[in-house]
Amino acid sequence: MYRSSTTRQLVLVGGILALVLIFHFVGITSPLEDYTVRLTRTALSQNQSLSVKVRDQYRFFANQTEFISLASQCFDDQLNQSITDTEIKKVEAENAELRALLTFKKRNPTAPLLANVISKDLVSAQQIIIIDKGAVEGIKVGDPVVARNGIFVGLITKANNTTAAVRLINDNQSKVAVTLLNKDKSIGVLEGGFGISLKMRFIPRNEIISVGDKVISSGLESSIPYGLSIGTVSVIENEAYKPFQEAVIDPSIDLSKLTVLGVLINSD
Amino acid sequence: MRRILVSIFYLIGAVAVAFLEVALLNSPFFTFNHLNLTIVFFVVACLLNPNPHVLLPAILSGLILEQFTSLPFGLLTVSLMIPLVITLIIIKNVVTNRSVWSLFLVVSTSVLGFRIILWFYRVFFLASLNGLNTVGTLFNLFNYIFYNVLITTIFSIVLFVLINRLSRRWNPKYVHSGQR
Repeated sequence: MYRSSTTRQLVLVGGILALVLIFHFVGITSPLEDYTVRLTRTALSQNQSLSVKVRDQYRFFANQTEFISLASQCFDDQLNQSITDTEIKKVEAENAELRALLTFKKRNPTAPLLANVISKDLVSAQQIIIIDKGAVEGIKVGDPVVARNGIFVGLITKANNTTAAVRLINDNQSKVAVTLLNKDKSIGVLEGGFGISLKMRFIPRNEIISVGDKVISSGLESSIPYGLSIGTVSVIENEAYKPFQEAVIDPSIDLSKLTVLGVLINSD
Repeated sequence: MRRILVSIFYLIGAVAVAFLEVALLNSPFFTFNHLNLTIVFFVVACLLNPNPHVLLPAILSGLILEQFTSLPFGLLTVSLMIPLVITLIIIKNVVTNRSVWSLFLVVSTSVLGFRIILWFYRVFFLASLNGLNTVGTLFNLFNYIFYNVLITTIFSIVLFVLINRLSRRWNPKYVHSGQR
């Protein structure tokens, strides 16, 4: 009697779980899910920013020697500041012009959709982050994601109604077609899964690449536009027994400190 | 009335731990971002009240956590529920007292179960679809799972010591008289 009662209750729990999942796929629970995320995403994005700040502070003070050298550099910078003051006035004029362009860009439908990073991926050690914009705002799986002034950081891998998951380029399942800005405009595949670095593979051995060469998106993938900045070559691996040469790429941005991103929504 | 209050407590607790887990995931400190609070909460709930209805709020936690993962919808909730049900069965049929060791057994079993289900999904399904760029990442994953189990278990043991001072329910005599 006791055991059958427990089994019955467990079956009931399983039934409710199945029912909830069906309700989700039918769309009955969607408003509730959206409301829950909307309610909390501001707090979570603040939490993410705070976390990045704390991490920065911790790293800044962790190394005393580095701190002293940074402080002395700071004094030197202060001396040079008077020289740059005159430059600033010139830049201010340019800035006003750029702001006007930015306003135009905001009205343009192809402009990046701004999104805050609210969390890392919850269940795995993968380099996936969650942003606070989703399918409601037009985000689709495969949309490219950029940071700052157009640095490519990853692709949308899942789009919920109010949130979306971004697979960063340093994830071990990420593969992106890229071009090197060298003489030959070498084309290759950029892969993650090597810690903070990336690896560009399948570069023909006869093409000359050098340390410091810039890497940009090649535009060979329909969803990723040509020319998005990705990083620079830091190490070249050209072994005689390999059919292709490889290059280790340093990303243009620290991928662990992303707080605000732009999603380039594909119209098709 | 008491049952309603307890149910409300579990529901609020389920929502709170889910959001707290997401918030702690971004923590710059190593210990906190490896904590699996949802599992700890429900394992402790099962130990205090070993009935299947205690697991119902876990569905709510799972649904909240689904919003913060790249996995297909439902997989996380199912992966959370399976080890919790196994844990409940262990608590009801195997564990005869409420000691640090029994807590160690049930928490590590459920965290390990949760991670292994997700790992199987990742390696045998996702990797076959997209391919993994490096085999070395499997080691990182094992490392991640190891720390996850270790830190969550240590946290739950600290919690056990605290609850042990407050509640009689963890007393072995209570369990014996309650289940016979």
